[in-house]
Amino acid sequence: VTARPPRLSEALMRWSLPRTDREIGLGDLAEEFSTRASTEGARPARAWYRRQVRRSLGPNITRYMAEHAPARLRLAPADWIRDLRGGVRSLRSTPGFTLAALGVLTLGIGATTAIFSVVDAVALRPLPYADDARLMVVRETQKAGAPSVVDPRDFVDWRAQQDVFEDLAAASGSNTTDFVDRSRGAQERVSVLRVTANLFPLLRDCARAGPFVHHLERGRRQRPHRRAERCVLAASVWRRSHGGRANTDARQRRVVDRGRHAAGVHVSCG
Amino acid sequence: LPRRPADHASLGEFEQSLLLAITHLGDAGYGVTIRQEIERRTGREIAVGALYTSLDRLERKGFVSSTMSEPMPERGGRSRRFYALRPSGAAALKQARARLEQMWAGLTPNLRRSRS
Repeated sequence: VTARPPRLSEALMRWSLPRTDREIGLGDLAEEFSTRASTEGARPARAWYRRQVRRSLGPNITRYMAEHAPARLRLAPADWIRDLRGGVRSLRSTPGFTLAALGVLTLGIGATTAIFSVVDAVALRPLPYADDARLMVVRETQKAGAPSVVDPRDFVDWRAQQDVFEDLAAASGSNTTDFVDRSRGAQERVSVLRVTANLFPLLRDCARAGPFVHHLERGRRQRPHRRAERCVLAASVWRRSHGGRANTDARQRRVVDRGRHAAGVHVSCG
Repeated sequence: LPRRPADHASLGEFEQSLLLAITHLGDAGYGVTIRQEIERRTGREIAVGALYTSLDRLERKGFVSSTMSEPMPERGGRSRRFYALRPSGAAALKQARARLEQMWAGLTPNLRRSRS
């Protein structure tokens, strides 16, 4: 089998060589590649070809710019390179200033990035749910303004008596627990949130919400101690634990310290 | 500072190497052989892009002329471009050598002043 020059390198060379030298330059490379492939082998010949192209790109582009670019652009690369070299020389001659400037820049960019990340996550980026603008949080506060825990009986009354919202769902404060994947023998610490079953249809969680919501609602008709064992895995945990395969039996996983079985996967529509 | 325009007749080191390789090769000087000649004599690997950029400049200055061969199957049906030294190129080479020799005059090969 005749060895062929690397296609990407050949295409780069064809693209960068001026039209007048394109066929000649490619012919030279093809001729020497063929000689090298037969004497040294295909792999060293390809390495040589790639090196040739890598080292030729600069001269080819410079030549193209000199011949075809408008005069305004033609002078620019040389000016930039001269300015760049001057800047580098100046920075090297004053290392104290350079280090201080780099430190300030690093801190500035880091702080700005961190603040923007928080603002983006909290205020700018929409929630990953359909109709996120219609979602609201209802809290109960003490006289001093501090939030207080809503009594479950109050929540039931609110839900039954309100006519402002489409529906109300409840969620308790989050804490962490250990999640064990029996099939892999792996264990990881995950955040847990206790919610009412109607939260998922309320959030319009459509993708895979059907099976587990059905499962949860069916759980209502089961005995109370069985109903309390149901839990839902976040999609990220599901992907980590078994690669997102839909047909894996989620009930084989157990949350260690509470004895609950996973009932489904939570995948948001966003 | 603005760059001083290059002397039209002056030759850089690489240009001199190219003209000398073409002279060494006689009628057989084309891209591949010119590169190999320079690499063999100087141990310096030459990129095709740099080679043709400089050859194009030398041809514009009138120091070399080029002719195309018939298409060749071992080059994928492409032609070779053969280069020949023109009299103005030979004169520029001699002038470059004379300038260098003038600068070397009075120095030994190990850069000491020769006793005259």
